Amino acid sequence: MRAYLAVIKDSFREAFSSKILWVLIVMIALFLVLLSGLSVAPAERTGLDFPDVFDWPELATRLRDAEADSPAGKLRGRFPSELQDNLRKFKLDGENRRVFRDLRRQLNEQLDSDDFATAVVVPEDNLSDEARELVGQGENMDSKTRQRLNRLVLEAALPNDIRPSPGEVMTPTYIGFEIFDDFTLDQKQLTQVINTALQVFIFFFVSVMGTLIAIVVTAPIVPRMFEPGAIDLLLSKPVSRSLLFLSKFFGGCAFTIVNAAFLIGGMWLIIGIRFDVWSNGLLLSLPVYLFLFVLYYSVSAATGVVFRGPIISVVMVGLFWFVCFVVGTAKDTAEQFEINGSRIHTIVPVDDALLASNSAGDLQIWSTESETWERVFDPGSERLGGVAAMAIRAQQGFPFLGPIYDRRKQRIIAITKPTPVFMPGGGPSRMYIGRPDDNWSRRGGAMLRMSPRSIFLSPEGEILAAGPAGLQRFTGDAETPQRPFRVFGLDLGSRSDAGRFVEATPEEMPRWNSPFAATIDQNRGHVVIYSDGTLSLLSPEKNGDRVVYTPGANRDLETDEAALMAVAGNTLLVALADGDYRLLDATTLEAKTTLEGPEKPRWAAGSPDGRFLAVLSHGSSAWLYDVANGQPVTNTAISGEIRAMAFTDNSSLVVGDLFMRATNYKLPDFSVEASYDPPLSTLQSVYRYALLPIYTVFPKPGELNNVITRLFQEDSTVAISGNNDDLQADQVEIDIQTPLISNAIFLIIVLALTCLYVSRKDF
Amino acid sequence: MTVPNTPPVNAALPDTAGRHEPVIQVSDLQKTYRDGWFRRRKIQALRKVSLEVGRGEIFGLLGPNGAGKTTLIKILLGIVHKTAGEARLLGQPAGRRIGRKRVGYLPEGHRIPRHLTGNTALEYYGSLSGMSVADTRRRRAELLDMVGLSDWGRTVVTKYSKGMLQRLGLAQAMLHEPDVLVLDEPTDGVDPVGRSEIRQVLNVLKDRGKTIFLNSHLLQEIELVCDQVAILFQGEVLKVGPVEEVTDLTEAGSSEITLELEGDGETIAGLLPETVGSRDQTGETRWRVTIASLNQDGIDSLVDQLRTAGISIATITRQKLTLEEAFLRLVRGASGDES
Repeated sequence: MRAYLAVIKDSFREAFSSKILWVLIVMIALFLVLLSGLSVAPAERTGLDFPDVFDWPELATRLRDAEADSPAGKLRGRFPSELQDNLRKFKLDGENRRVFRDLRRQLNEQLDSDDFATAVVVPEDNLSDEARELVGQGENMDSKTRQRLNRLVLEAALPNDIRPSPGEVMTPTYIGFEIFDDFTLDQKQLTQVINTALQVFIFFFVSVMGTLIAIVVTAPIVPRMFEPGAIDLLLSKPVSRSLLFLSKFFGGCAFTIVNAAFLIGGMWLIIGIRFDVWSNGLLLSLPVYLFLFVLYYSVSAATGVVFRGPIISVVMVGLFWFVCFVVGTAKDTAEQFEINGSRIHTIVPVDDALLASNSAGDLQIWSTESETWERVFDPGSERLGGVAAMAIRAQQGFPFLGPIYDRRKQRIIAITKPTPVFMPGGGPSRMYIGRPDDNWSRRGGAMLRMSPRSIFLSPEGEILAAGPAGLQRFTGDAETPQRPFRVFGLDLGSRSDAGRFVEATPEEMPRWNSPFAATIDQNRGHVVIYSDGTLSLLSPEKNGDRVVYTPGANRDLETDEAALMAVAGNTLLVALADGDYRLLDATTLEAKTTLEGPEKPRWAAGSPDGRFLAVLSHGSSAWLYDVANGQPVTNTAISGEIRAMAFTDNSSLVVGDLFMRATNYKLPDFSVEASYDPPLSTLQSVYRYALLPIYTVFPKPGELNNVITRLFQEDSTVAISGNNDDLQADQVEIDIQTPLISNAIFLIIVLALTCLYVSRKDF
Repeated sequence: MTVPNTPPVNAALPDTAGRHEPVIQVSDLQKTYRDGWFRRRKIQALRKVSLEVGRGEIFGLLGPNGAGKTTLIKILLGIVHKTAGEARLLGQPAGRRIGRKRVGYLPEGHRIPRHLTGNTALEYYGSLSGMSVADTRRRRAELLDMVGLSDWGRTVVTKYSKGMLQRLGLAQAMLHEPDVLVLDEPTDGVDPVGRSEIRQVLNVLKDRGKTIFLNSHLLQEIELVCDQVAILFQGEVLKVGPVEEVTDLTEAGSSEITLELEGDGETIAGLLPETVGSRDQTGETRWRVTIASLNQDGIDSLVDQLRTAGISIATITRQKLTLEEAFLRLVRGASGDES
């Protein structure tokens, strides 16, 4: 052992004698010194930007209609008379761009004024804790604190219109100077920004540039050892050839270890001290990066042993990278342009027909004549293309909530997910309708002011949308086209009031918290809300000509996991993200039993006959539970990689897998009632039978970056939207096992073959 | 260079008792290299080589370039794998780690990593030989002094001359007190003074009971230090044995004779045997005659005949070949046979 340790020790000695190492050390030190100038300073969130308002037309309408002595009315009274006039004349379908611009400017002026908080009196109960604390300071506050109080008062005065802003925020500084004006972050956002920046930095500067430099610098180490005159001296010693090579190989990593440890360790320390963000992910990225380097270095070393030249070693590493890149890119490209589009995502049984949507959100109907899927529900002129569509997909994944089928009115209903207004094609949620007699073309477009998480129909056929901001029902005509009001391409609200979502709960109902989930019990009409670990029943009560959902039973489940819910018969399923599945009485919320199911559910439903509960996870695992006999159901039909599931009206189960293939099983015996199996396209065949097998057996050095991404995440899957509390949102599974295992196998094979070559070779 | 006047380092090793115990045994050893894209071209480096080296001997291996000398050494050390035959080192099949543990090797044109100093190089190679750093540090001052590098221990080897590198190589070969030293061209690049000092070191090592297997082009040195030599040519051993035997190329009991004669040239020519090498006239009636091979009876008979014929014998000299002369004759002879 002493001999091999001596080889490793000598490698460190060699590294430290290298001038390049010291040049890099100096450069890294310089970078760390520059980095240490970055910090954050406490700041206040003041002022108002366009995205701070949920819905500008709604805000204008509220200010127009507000009673003079209400907080909103008092606010309006402080506006210049011209703006007051414009607000008085405000109409949804008018030319309102100037009104919104003036309104924003005027609101910002009000927020800067000294007497805003005292003039716009808001009941103290409506004020946040932070605002109450600031009010307690009386007159002894500086202008910045006053502006902050004004903003909090504005949020309390218009709670449904102004987004709440966090209290403790910071602004980035460099050597004590603020970098951006009016740019603030709370600690959570700061951590996210730093983690994102670190991921990018690790990828470009460590994984790419660092590996390149390290490979070029270390390429001569092994060939130099195998030079005539050097190798025979070593081999004459009482050492094993293979272990000698392996010691030199791992010793050759000394250069990289020293530099990477200094860079990453230094960054970890500086970021921890300056930002109070002690990123374990950053520290753990060091061994992952070293593994990446070792992988490339194994190719370099093997080439160096055979050809004994550093240049050819570097060339072979480049070739290896290129081949891996081509294989990975070919797979990704095929997936991006063909395969993902043909991956089934959502199944919507519609009477005798079957609708299904692919991951891109393209809804298709099964044609029994051609035995293929045909596209329907096209967005027509509202369809986004190019960069906008890509941006939306990258931001939110599958673009809809639903669709669901409204049997009573023979139509499908889908709600688009909200996207930030400043994104191309971004805007609030809108509801679209498709009817079979119109070839399922998309119509409607009523806007939702909140971010809905669930859409369902009440037993009476009312469209309900639920989200942390409340439970809303739709009133009016859902199918009348409602075009968005756009300013510079930003969707700022609706021009029409043909139909709208209104609160379905009493006005004094507080907002719910995240993690949030909602479902409806079709037998009793109850809406079940899951809010931050607590279940609430909302019972429908007639109030004149409308139904109001009033709070009933509550139950604290003592968990903070995200959840999905479904009701079958009198059983309520709460499928928690950690795989803990709770079964409760749907009427009393009394606990019945707890079972184990797949983690991270993404879809849950109860069969219409009330006998089965089904769950599908983000990991493509299906779970079926027979309520009647109180046992989970196992069957090969649902044991593979399942992409989508749905119950039909007669309670059979439609199961979809990879290439838009679906099968309708009659329960409980799983006899096949119908199958929908379109022929594979050429590209799909190439992907399935050539590209995927090649990719599977090939090393995947590039995918080690996924492992680094995973280190900066808490979960193994990441919601594309960034909101991991929304289990229905598309999630990308960060597969760290496959790249680690396949790369480790490749490394072992390369090193084993090189050892075999070294042990048999005459030197 | 100072050769320490110390008793044998390896006291456990018998100085004379085990001297004839074979340390290196090679029997019918063959090595064929394969070359070319499909390894179809064969190069026979060793053809049934057999030799034996006893404990405490200095054995010299001679041969022109490409004779297979380095291949033989590398097979003994396990650096090259044999094709057929047998090779044993210190009683173990050649290449075994246990055997290599007791061998010090100085390869021809060895390269010591550029980042090392004399001291760290010895530490590195000492550890590779299984020595602790403490042991190496204890030994290295003596060794560096022995090879004349006592002032260069802290200097990085890139600043060393070729001769200094050779001396450092020799020091690393001796570092772990091996029983056998295999030295491939140890005086390569070393000046005449240095060569003499290295010879001195070899003699000291021999006195300490070490076995030395020497491979060199410098035949005079081999002749000066070696007990036994082998001449290798095109993978075959042409001659092996003590230096006196190898340099004696005549038949058994015969030797080369030179006579200075005075008398009639025709009479002298008529009396000379068939093995006469040359007959040169050095004066009006003086002749120098060389006879390639003649035993004692032949000499007596020739002297009698010459005296009877009235020829005066001025001098009679028995000639002896140098190792170089013997080597060249053997190699040229073998080349002629080949052609």
